[in-house]
Amino acid sequence: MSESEEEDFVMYGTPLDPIEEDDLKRKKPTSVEDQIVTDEQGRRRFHGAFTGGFSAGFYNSVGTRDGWSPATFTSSRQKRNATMPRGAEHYMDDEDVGEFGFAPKGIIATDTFISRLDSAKLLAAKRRKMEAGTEVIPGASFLEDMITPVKDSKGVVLLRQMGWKPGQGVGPRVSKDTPEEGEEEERKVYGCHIPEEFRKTMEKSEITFAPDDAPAWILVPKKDLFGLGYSGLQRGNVLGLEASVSGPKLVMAEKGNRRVKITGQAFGVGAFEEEDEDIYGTEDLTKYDFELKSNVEKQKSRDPKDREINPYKKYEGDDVPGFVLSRVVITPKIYKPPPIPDSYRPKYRLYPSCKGIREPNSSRWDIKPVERAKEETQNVKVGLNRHSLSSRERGALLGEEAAPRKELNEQILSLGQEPVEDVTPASTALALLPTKAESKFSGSTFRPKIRPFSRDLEKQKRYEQYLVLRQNNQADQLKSLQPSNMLDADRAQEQAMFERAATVYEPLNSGIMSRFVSSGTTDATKPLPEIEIQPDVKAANMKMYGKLTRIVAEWFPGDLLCKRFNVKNPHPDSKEAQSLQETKPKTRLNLADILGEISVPSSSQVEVSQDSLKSSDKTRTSPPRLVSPVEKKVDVAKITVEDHSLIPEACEEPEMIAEEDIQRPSIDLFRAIFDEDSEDESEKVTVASQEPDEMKSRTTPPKNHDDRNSGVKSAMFSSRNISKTNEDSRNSRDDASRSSTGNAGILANLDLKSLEEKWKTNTEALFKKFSLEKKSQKEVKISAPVDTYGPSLPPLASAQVDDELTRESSKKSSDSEDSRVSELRSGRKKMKKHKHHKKHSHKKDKKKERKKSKRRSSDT
Amino acid sequence: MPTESESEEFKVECKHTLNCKNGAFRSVAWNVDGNYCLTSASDKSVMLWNPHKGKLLQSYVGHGSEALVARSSGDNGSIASGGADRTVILWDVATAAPLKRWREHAGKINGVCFNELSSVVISASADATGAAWDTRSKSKSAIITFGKFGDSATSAVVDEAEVLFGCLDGKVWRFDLRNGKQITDTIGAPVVDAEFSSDSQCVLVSTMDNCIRLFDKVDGKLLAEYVGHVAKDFHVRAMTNFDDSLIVGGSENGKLLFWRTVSSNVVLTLDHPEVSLVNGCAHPKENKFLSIARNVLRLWGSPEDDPDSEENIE
Repeated sequence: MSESEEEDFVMYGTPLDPIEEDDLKRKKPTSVEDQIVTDEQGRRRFHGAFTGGFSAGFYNSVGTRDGWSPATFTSSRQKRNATMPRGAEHYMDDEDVGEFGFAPKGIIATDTFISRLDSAKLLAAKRRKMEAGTEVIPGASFLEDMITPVKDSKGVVLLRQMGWKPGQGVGPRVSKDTPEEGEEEERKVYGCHIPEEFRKTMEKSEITFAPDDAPAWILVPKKDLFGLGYSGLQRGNVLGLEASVSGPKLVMAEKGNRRVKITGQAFGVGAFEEEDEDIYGTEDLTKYDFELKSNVEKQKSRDPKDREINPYKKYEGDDVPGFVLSRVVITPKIYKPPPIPDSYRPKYRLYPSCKGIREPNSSRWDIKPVERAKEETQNVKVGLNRHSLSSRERGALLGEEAAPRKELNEQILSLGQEPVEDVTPASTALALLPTKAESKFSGSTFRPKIRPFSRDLEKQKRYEQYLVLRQNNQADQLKSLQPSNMLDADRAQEQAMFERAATVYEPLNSGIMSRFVSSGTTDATKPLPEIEIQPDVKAANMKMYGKLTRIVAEWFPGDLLCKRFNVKNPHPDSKEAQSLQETKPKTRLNLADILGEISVPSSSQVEVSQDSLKSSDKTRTSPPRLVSPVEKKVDVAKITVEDHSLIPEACEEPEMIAEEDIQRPSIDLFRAIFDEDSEDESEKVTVASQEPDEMKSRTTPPKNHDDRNSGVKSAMFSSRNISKTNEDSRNSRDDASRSSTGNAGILANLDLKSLEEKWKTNTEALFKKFSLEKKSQKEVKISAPVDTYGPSLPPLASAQVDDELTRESSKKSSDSEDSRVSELRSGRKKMKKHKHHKKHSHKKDKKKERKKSKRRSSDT
Repeated sequence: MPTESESEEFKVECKHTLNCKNGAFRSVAWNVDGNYCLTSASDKSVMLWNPHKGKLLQSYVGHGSEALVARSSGDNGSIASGGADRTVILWDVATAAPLKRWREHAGKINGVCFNELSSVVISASADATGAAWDTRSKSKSAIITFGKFGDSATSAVVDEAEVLFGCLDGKVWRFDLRNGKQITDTIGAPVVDAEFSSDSQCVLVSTMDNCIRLFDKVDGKLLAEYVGHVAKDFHVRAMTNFDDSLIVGGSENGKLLFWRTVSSNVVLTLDHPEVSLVNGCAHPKENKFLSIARNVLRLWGSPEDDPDSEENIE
């Protein structure tokens, strides 16, 4: 039975597994807590915060399963323009962007915009609402219906209502068997076919079809820049719609039977290749020929169609339908400009009413007259408008005198040419100005080119007057020009300032200036200004050499140079004087510096004469003394003499070296600490080396060096006797002084120079010793002249001569000479003591030099 | 002695002719003892010769431009040279290596000399200054700069403790270290060369007005004038011989002239085949002279001297 029953059932699909009893328990519905929303990967979607938080990353942790790893540095060298993700969507998971994510990307019409008719769901809801009467506003649903958005055009709606469906053509329905007339007869039918009559009756049955949808004939305006008729790659081509219909777009040329076509496809075919039929690109069967037709026939059938369809028929010569090429060449007519009347004066007129034009004198910032008038009327109403006033107007209100307005070009001009009117005497004190000076003002010789005090016009005026006074050696009268309310200190300061400015800005009045003549003043008739010949040059030209041509000045050789020359510093404590001179000889003089310097001394200090500052250090260290007018005059005279000679000393030994000497402790100290043994040794050596020297110098008579001296001296004497016999007395005096400075008799042995000479001869002797040559001949030569002058004086006699000489020199010669002799003596003492480190160094050098000479001799 | 020498007939003959093949000589100087001589030439080199044997011993190359002047030190250990490249170079004689190079001058170096201890080099430059350079310290700057001359300094000479500069401003500047004085003598014409006489009592000044003048050092009086040569455009130098009996001076017309110091007569004129600037140099110990004309260096000596005896001197 069961079998039969089973057989009766028709079974569809696969049967479910039989439910077992154990499984029933599990059918318990899942609790709310267990109903977890998961994403595509099965991860829990919402977390925490009352399950409102999103899942993100790896189980809501930052990063991956392996933890968070910071972004590693990747060189942008290779991929420079790689854009980094910036938007929030770059950080979102894929499901967030999906249809059910919180940021879906697809555009979905909301419910309100879904057609009511389409959405049965909505209709049902509406109905439910209406039935329940739960509408908030009664009749709102009808209102809603009234404002449904229009989806289709009215025509479409009408057509639809008439039974039209999208995709159908419009018109009466047609049966399948209404073919076109022409085709019917010509058609050849192969194979089995329903006979014509039979078919007609069969097809003429009630089955009708809607007509095909005729494509709308739309004239498309040409928007691209392609050639006429050419449409590049089009989307439509892919679907094969238009391409199949319209055929080849452009026929370029015909080659024999073949046609070279350029269709809408991309160029991929070479000029000599034949294009393959694009069978895949043609979805439409119309592309295929189903009938056997000759080409001509096809042409015929296609041509009229083409004519109609292609509105952009290419231009073929003259026969544009309805148009003929014009025979008349149209030339544009050119008209001549109208003649300018003779009375026309090409001049631009300024119209005062024109707002944009400035007054010639006004600046850009001045208020324009029209505006000002407006403002004036406003001022009456509002009150004094301070901020709209110009600086001039403010000044006028305050009762200030308007400062003379200076344009830039005027200032430049004033640099070059000083207007004479500026210097017109204002005060009564100017009467003191000598007439000479005034004539010089107007003259071309005096014209201050630079105006150092142009900011303060009064001061500048005073400065110019001062320059005149200064030229006439009446610089002191500046005081009378200065305003009476000026303090004495200020006066003195100003005078000093003027003095410095005058020296700085003094035109090149000295030698150089006189060599140049400005091009403006060149006048062939005028003789060139003669160069002022200085008195010493004059004297030299007159061969009056002597006192007139000689200028003696103080000179500060500096410690180091004296040390190197093995000479006592003539100005040992003159560092200050030196530093004063050396302040900055190399830097250019700057007005700012000078003025800064000037502002330092008080009025009393200014009067300290300059030469006292310059020439000696004593006055520098002593407090500045006040100089009475009489004294001052003398001092000024001194300056004129001494300044001239002092200027060349401006640059002397740099200060650094002097400082170096001060800072370094004496070498004796080092010696005492470090090498006592070596000192002893060196002393021994030096003593040993010196002794033979002295021995030699004592025993051997003075060498040719001495006899040379005497020889020349005698020669000089004789020459003088010839030339100037009347100067005998002077000569004798010169002689004496010379003997003190030079080396005569025994004194020569004690002189440093003679020591040097001796040392030289000594080295020579050594040199000879070590040389391989015989020296006998040479020695004879050397000793020969020595014999002619006899032996040197014994040491006792030399001491006497020494004394006499010192006495003489103290009487006659200057202090310096005396000091020199004493210095020589002290030097000698020092030498004996072997304490002066100069001495040491000197001797060391000697040793070295001797070694060198030895080496040299051995070399040669 | 001087009277004798005056009466004597003075004769010299050319002993050696040395040719510097590279360029013209600019200056010549004996060393201290007169065994060697130094020349500076336009080929940027300073050369050490043994003129008695006619041998080139060493050349010192390192100037950036022509070497204008070279002098040897008193110990014969070093050479100072100045060039148109504005540097003063101190050379080691044996190794021919430049020991020091001083570059502070802004103009070419016209004169260079050592002091007697060879511890200082004095230079005269066309930048209107003179400078003293320390040969012992490592300092690259000058110990002292001598004055602001009116024009370029043309010569520098040191005698004992006096430094003498000739200057184109027509003055001779003497700096007396011992007394701390600066003595300026106006000569008038541009001074091309100023030398001390061998007894250092006089100053011999050559100027560009075809004249050499001898001045008393002490009072600056003119003692004698020597004319007969041509010195208008170039550095025509003059110096006294070893005993001051003669003045040797060059000329621009290819002649070397000898004057008697006292009588200021021209004793001898040596014509050079090169008709150009000739400068001479007197031996420090005997009557031997060197002359340079273009690229030829000549040694002149008295005809009695046997050339072989020169070798004995060495």
